[in-house]
Amino acid sequence: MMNFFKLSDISANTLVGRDVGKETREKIKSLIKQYHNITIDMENKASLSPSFVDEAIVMLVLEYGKVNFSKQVKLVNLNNGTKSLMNAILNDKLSKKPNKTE
Amino acid sequence: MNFSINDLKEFQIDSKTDKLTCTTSFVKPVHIVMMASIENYTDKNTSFTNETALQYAINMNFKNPLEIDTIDGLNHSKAIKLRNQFDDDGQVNKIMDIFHNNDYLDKDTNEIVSIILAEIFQNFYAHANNKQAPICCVQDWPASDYIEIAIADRGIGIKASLKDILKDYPEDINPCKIACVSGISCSLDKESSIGTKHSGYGLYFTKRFIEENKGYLYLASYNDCYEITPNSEFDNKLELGWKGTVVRLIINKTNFLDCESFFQTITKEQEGDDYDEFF
Repeated sequence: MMNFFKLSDISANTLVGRDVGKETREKIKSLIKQYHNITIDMENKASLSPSFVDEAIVMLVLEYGKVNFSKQVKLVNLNNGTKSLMNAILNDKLSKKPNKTE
Repeated sequence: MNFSINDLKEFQIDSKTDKLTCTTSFVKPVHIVMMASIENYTDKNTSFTNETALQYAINMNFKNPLEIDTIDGLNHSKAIKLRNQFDDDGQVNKIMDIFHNNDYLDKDTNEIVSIILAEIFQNFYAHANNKQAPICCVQDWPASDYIEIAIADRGIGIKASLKDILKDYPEDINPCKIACVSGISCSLDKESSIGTKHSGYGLYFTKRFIEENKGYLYLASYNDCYEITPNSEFDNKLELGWKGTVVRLIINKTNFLDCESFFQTITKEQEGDDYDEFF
């Protein structure tokens, strides 16, 4: 499948830094632009940090909006810890969004 | 088994010369990572007032830490030198292998530990001296309910790193405590000054994990310290004189946490709003 990508292919090096998270977000955006909808295999990675998850995924959800993100990006093989972490950060960000500088 | 911020006082560090004297007879991982940092990154040696402690520290490889890529998931209780760069997530997995291979904790709790370790490591690398990799040590205490993970660096310290990103850094508040407060990143977002340096999530999650797990957390950086125990919270000056940062996690092996409930609870308690499961 052309629009199926492993996280390790999108982000070859570290998966834990905020800088790398930002680079990963930009790569995902360019893949969305190219394929319109994509599936990302999160490979059950256990050591994604909050800052990486925030930069790479949660900020993308905030940028695209929940509905559009759901239409365009499907995440598979998310382990329970990462999934729970992502939900927690997204809830945190959404609750503070009105006060943020966009 | 007793853990205390006073464990850190079992060192005498001469702030001018960096000379370190170890006065304890019971060497713990937090001692090992500090001694290993001095031994490997300065031209100073550690003096011991107790011969047993010296022998034990030697057995824990404080003079020659194991390279992270040589550890096999079983050799805990040794000083472990991390890589010079945080170039993939393999280092966290290497440390977590020690937990997996020794059947420490359960799957969900290990997943949370893995997440908080990743953020702690990332924070160390963001502020450490590139040529001086952080040193880690993991130790099980078989006769007790606890596992200790200690990490030390010789970096700029928490106060300097916060000053770097907080425009109006409150001088009178303990930086180690501030680093554990949720929302630091949001304040920074408002200032548009966060860039890509700091999230504030990692140590907040770490703090909340330790509280829920009924474990212990110690942060020490230069002369500031912060302590969380099952029954107390403490922040003060320690006069430790450590030129860098030390993080000490003591995890309760008998207290397992459910990932989903853990993250849901701490998010709810921050905002008081309904929790939405999007992913």
